[in-house]
Amino acid sequence: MSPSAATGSLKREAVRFLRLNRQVAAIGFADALAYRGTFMLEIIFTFIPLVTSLLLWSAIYRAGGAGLAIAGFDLNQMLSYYIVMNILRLAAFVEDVQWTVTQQIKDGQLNAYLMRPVNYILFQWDLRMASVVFGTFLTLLPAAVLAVAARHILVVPAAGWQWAAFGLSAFLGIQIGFLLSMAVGLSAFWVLESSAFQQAVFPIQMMLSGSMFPLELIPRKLFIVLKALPWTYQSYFPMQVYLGRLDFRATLAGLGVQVLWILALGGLCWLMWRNGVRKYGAVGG
Amino acid sequence: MIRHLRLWGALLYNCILREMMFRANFAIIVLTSSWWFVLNVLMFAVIFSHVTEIAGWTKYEVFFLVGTGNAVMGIFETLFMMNLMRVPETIRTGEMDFYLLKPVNTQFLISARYADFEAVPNTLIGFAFMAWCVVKLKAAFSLPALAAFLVFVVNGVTLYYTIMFVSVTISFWFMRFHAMSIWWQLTSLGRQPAEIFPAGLKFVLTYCLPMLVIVNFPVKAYLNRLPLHLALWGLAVTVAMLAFSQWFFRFALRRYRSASS
Repeated sequence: MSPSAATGSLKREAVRFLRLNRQVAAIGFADALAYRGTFMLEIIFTFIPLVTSLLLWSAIYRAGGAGLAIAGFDLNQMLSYYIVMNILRLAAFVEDVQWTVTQQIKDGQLNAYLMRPVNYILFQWDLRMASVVFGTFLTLLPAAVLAVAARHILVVPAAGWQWAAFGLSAFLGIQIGFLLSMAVGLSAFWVLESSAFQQAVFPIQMMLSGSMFPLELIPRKLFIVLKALPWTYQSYFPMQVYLGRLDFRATLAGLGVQVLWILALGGLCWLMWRNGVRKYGAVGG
Repeated sequence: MIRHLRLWGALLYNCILREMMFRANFAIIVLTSSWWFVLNVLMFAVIFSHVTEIAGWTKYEVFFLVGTGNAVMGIFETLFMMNLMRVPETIRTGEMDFYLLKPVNTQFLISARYADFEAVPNTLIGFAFMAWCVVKLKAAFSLPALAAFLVFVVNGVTLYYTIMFVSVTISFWFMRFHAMSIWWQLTSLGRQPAEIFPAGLKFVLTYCLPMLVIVNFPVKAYLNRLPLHLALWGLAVTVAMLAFSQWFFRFALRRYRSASS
């Protein structure tokens, strides 16, 4: 093949991929749109545990007296952590990808995808990102209401660059979350008891990503270990940026680590997929 | 009544046999089902390394509450949850016909048909943890307190069941309404120390939407902090809700028209 023909075919591939991308994203949108009522209800009701957490932490800080700092958090920072984390998780919950992938591997639905000329991981990524965009859009209103209601306690980044870094790190965190979840899902190629496995790892995923409570709360030695894991960079690191607990250089370094994790996890998923499909028995079908 | 209890026994036995067919899966779930509980305890342990009490509750009292919450929810999950989650689907597909035809109370049958033994170990861990807390509390152990505690645990499970049952009954009108997942969020209210809530909200959660009766009352009964009028209210509301759930179910059944075929 001549070099120009090679570039030509590469270009065709790229165009085809982009076009496909748009189609798949449209499906993702339609899917999210079909359940918008459920989504709004869910949003209202997910605020119940949030309010409970806020009341609980208020009571804890009351008990500790004025000026109490737990793991370097004062009351407002702690409450803001929960508020912003909740909004973040609401807008971009990507962990359901592991259930989808596992199920499709287990009951043979994957066959349908293997027939199609699309990359399975990218296909799932498209669907997810469409729902993230949609979720973010739907979350705007409740988030605004919450921000106004909590204006006296909500801590916001002081500097413009912190807002930008927070946005970027949240975006990169979503990618990390997606890839981690994809890897957990793809493990169904090897793990026989995959539904039990998922149930087992999900709470750990939630805790490690800092969705349950700020990770500084756990004993120092354990904390250092956790910080070396990719989950920390899913939502805990963006929260650190948001609360202004990192200076400019530390923020940049963290963003760099996020990119490295994305590359590493992307590679891992690709490897898992390649080896998994070979092993795949196409049960059911 | 006796007949229903005997039937319940047979149904439970039947479910154990089914469960044992998938032993490995069962074993893993047994090992991992208490993760949420462990994480919850861990969080409170860390909190109590910074403060000595939360809204008047000491460390082991809060632990006791967390353990009770785990046990109450565990019993509910074992006996009822799977059944209630199936109700909307049962109505949608017309499968309800089969339940209506059986010569037993229909509410009983659709509520107790399937038991989920995956939650049993978690429940037992909850009770073991409570026992440990009681030792650590160094409160004088007394049989009446224990009896009161157990009465309110049963009371709590029953009340929780009736609230959930009424919610899923609503799916006779709205078939796509997944009441369970929404109520699930509400339970987070009931598992907290009651005193963290502002007075108004606490009143609502005691009298209007009695989530506090479910987990807080057993603990308070054991710690001898439950005034008599509240104790009576807790028992009365459960009986009333049980009667209401039966009436509401019969009322809703009139709308059932056996889908498809």
